Amino acid sequence: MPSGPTRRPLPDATIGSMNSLHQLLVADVMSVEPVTVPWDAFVEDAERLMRAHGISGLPVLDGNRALVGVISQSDVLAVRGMAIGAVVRHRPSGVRVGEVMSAPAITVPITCSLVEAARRMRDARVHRLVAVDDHSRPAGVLSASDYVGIVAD
Amino acid sequence: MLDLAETTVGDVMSRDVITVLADATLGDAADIMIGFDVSGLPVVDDDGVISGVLTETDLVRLRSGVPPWRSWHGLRVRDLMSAPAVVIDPREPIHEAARVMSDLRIHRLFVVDDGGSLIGVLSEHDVVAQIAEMDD
Repeated sequence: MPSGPTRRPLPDATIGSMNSLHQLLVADVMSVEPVTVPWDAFVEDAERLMRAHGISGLPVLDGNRALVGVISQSDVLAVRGMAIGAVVRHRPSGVRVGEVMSAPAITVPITCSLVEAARRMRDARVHRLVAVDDHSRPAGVLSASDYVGIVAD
Repeated sequence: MLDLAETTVGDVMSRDVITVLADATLGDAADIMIGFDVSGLPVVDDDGVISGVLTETDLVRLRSGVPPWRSWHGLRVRDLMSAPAVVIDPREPIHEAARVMSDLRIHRLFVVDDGGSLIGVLSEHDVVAQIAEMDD
């Protein structure tokens, strides 16, 4: 059973009240300790991580652990040559994460309001934002599913 | 000011739904998802009645697991789809739609009328867009 992202309980004041959305910040809702993948990993490795953790996208880091992009299930599905190559030659596709990821990553400061972050997600037409700290390091991931979880409360 | 507590599924859903037939190939289904930039397809019959759902996750997981001696492109949508589809009535409030998506860990709900015919889709994107329209 996939373990899912690390998630903490919301502050007590917010539970049960959709109007309290205004008071929430990205840091209150994001998944912390995000699962990431190196840009030189194979796409199959990214697929495996997504499957193992029950998530549909991963921040991508370069050799210095700097954020360089995001790889999602959509990016993976679009690698058309992969299935044929794997079937015929019985080996990994040889396609690297860095070749198919979306770059740059769409980010949001951890101190940003949840409403503002929603606008950024909507305007960029992405399923997830990488939440970054003051030094632009990835601190978490905020996904569309997190918004659904809040509205469901 | 937008009041999420009053908003219904019907207020927010998209009525343009890309569909697929059960006997389409998985290769065609993948092309449709990529071409139309959607992550899930309702499987409908000729009367527009929804019988199941095929998602991007289903395709990616199948491909990671397929033995090397089988090509998945020849399989049909009906071989892989989830059935029955999880559907919702347009009169339900969106917090109920959100609860269903959250509990079942799914990213979209298909909206049906009283006859079971597909009339729209409500996705996580739509929930985000509603929140994006709230005042600061």
